[in-house]
This record gives sequence, structure tokens and C-alpha cells, in this order.
Amino acid sequence: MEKAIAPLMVQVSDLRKSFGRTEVLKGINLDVRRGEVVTIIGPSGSGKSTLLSCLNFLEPFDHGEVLVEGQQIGFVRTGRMVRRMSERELNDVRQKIGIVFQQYNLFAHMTVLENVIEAPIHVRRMARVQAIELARRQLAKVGLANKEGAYPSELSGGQQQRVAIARALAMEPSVMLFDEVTSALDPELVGEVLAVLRGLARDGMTMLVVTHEMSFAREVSDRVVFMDGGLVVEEGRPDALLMHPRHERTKAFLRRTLEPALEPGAIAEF
Amino acid sequence: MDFEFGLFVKSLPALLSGAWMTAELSVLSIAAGLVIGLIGGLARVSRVATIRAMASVYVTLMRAMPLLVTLLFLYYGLPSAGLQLDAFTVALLALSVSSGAYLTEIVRAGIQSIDPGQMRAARSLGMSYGRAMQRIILPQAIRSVLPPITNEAITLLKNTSLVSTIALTDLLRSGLEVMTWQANTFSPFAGVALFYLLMTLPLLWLNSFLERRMRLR
Ligand SMILES: Nc1ncnc2c1ncn2[C@@H]1O[C@H](COP(=O)(O)OP(=O)(O)O)[C@@H](O)[C@H]1O
Ligand SMILES: [Mg+2]
Repeated sequence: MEKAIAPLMVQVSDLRKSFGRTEVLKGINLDVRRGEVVTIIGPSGSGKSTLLSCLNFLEPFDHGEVLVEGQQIGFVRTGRMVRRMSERELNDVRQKIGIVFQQYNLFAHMTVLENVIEAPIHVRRMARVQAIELARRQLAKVGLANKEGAYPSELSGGQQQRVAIARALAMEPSVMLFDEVTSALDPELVGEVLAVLRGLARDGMTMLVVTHEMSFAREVSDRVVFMDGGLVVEEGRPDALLMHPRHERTKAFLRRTLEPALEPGAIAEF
Repeated sequence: MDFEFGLFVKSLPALLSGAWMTAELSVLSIAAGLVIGLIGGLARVSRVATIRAMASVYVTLMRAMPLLVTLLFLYYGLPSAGLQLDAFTVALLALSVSSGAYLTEIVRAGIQSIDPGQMRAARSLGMSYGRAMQRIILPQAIRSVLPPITNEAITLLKNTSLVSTIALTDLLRSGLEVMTWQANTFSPFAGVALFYLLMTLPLLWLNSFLERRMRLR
């Protein structure tokens, strides 16, 4: 794989973010190359969701820089002047960055197809027929070609989450962010969503995946990032990081996370 | 003081024209109130603190004030401020700004009943705030907002009876007038009550229908 020399897709440098007086991100540095799949693991409250939300400026950050395909997100630096992007500029750059949340957040009053064509029509200004064609391609990709007339409430969690993925893909983003997309699902539905992620990875999509699924992290990702307390503690190749973590905090986290799977009788996850 | 059917029938034409005034005032001011309520509700959840504060002051003021006071305040106050408006316009104004405040709160509650994740999802797809409101949030809020809106319409309709204090011949006032030229006070008032009932009942039915439909999904 020549991913190591592929151009940088996402560059995050010294990213800081506070909610009130609590600093939640304390200077994050992270680069993701085109086609790379990076999983982010770490204890709850370590700032993983906040980091993803800062990448498309859904959550404005306080300090640092985010570049996607070389383009600045949130703040524009011209010479020595830094100004916040206008709403319109933000709406434009957000189209490059697809995001899927733990709660699927499908538009409840719209059918599956309407969910997927909504932004292509109203944001990308595509013609309706073209948008429908595009949407059907994405729905086929997530295995839901036969569900386009259904309402979200008529679908299982796994199906809803796959629609959410198709909806994000319909914007043809350069990078996809996944925030614990299987955490709200019944165990038997996790597999179908992970299968979609694997397919995307195979197709060369650049992906940042926050997950507790260690087997996914190990098998699919090119790199694993461990976050704790608003910092990237350690990152590396999946085998190296998961099997031979260097930092004490990483070891402790992995011990806690993997333990149940090692107990006799539990499903071997690892 | 017996009920006399003859007097009752004779009072009907006058009452009918009063009822027409009441209906006219109700329909026009609920329409104006809805426009105010939509704008006010959006202002109450605005990202701009000043706009939120302004909307909140308006709502608080109108909810704190008895409608009768607002009505008389405008009726007697506006002329001294150099603004000469006819009684009908004053009544319309008072009813609209008053119901507008309640409808503002109804719309605000409707918007806030929608999971914030809907807005996040819309914005992450590149939708503007306004478009997300229009396409995603408001269409979903409508469901939960319709029953309380019909409730407010009923309240408003009944409150129009207060305009009889500023020389408008609404249903109540026409009942009072019929009373003065008839010795029997009860018969015309049976008509007044009947007409109010005829106007509010369909709204009450609509209200319970909408509430039942709400609970179904
Ligand atoms: N909107 C918010 N307001 C205040 N605090 C927040 C908000 N969102 C997250 N936090 C806090 O920031 C920290 C990191 O949260 P989060 O990014 O959700 O962590 P993770 O996704 O790793 O579990 C937590 O302590 C959380 O309580
Ligand atoms: Mg999280």
C-alpha cells in the first residue's frame, strides 16, 4: 500500500477547544492521508466526539488549525489576519466532510429516498432526477435498494444507520467521519453496519472512525489513535498499538476494554 | 323570568350579526397571531442573544398583562400618542399581539421538542440554518404544535367578548343590546351562549381529533 505517501487529506494541528472553563481538546495533532482508515479509540469523555465535530466546525474550536484537502476549515488565514468563515463558506466546506452519528438522526418526516436526495437537491443544487439516480446508487451500496419508500420509523437500527451513511455519501465527500456508529445498535445488527464500513474502506474512502469495536480497529484500519483527556496519547499501526501499547494509559484502557472478551464463554472479539 | 321562544327568535338577526363580528375578529387575529407566533418562536430560539431577549420581553409582557388592560390601553392610549385607529383595528391589534405571544411560546416549544440531532445532521450536510429550519425542523414541529394552536384559537375566540368594552358590537355586545329593548333578559342570552357554543364546538372537536392523532405516532 502506498497510503503512507498519499497526499494529506486531513491535517489537524494544535487543536484546542473548551466548553466554558473546561478544556476538552488540549492540543490535538493528527494527519490523515488520502484513502487511509484511522480509528480513534479512548475512554468515554476523552473528547473523541468533540474532535470529530470540530473537523467540520459543527463545534467551533478555539485554537489551532484544521485543513481538509489543504483547505482551512472554520478560520481563514490571509497573511497575518485570521477571520472566522462566513456561514456560506462553512456550508460549502462541510460538503467535503461526511459525518455519521451514533444516533442515526434520519429526518423522521421523510422517506429513505427523500432523506438521501434532500441535501443533493437543496445544497448541491442537483436536478431531482439526477439526485434520485445518485441516491439509488448509494442506497444500493449500503444494501438498502429495496427500502427507498420506507420511513425511518419502519426500519431497524442497523438499516437506519446504513441510510444515514448513504445520506452522507450522497454529498460525495472527500472524507467520512464515523462517531460510534454501532454503539446504539443491538449486537446482532452491528455486523451489517461494519460491513458497510469495510466496503467503503475497500473502495478507498478516507475514513476517521471512532469506535469501541476493537476487531474492526485491528482488521480494517491502517492506524489506530488512542485519545485520553483531550490529547492523543499514542498512535500506531493496529497490531503494534493494540498488542504492544507503550503508554500506561493505553495499556489500562485496553485491559479494561478487552477483558470481557477474554473471559471463557464470551464471544472472542479479539 | 321565563324563556320565551318568540323573543329568542326575534333576537336572532341581531345576534347573528354580532356573531359575524366575533368570527371575523377571531379569524383575522388568529391569522395575524400565527404570523407573529412563527416569527416570535424562531426569534426565541435564535442564535443571536439580542433577538432572543427581545422576543422574551415581548412574551413576558403580554402574558403578564390582562388582555382587557391591553385592549383599553391601546384604545385610550394610542389616540394620545397621536394614532387614531378605529375600534375594530384596535381590537384586532390587541387580540393579535396577545395571542401572538402565546403562539410564540407554542412554536418555541414545538421547535425545541425536535431532537437537536436533526439540526446537527442537516447542518453537517451543508444546509444553512434557515433551510434546515424550513425543511427539517418546522415540518416536524407542526405535528406537536397543531393541538395547542387550536386550543389557543378557542381561547382567543372566547376572549373576543372583551371587545364589547370598546363599543364594538360583537356577539356579547349584541346580546346586551337586545337585552335593553327586551324586558326578558334570559331569552337573548340563551342565543348568545348558543352562538358561542356553535363556534367553539368545531374547534374543540378539531382539537381532540388532533390530540388523538398526535398520540397515535
Ligand atoms: N456541548 C457540551 N457542553 C459542555 N461540555 C461538553 C459538551 N460536549 C461535550 N462536553 C464534555 O466534553 C468532554 C468530551 O466529550 P466527548 O467529546 O463527547 O467525549 P467522547 O466522545 O470521547 O466520549 C466530556 O467531558 C463532555 O462532558
Ligand atoms: Mg462520543
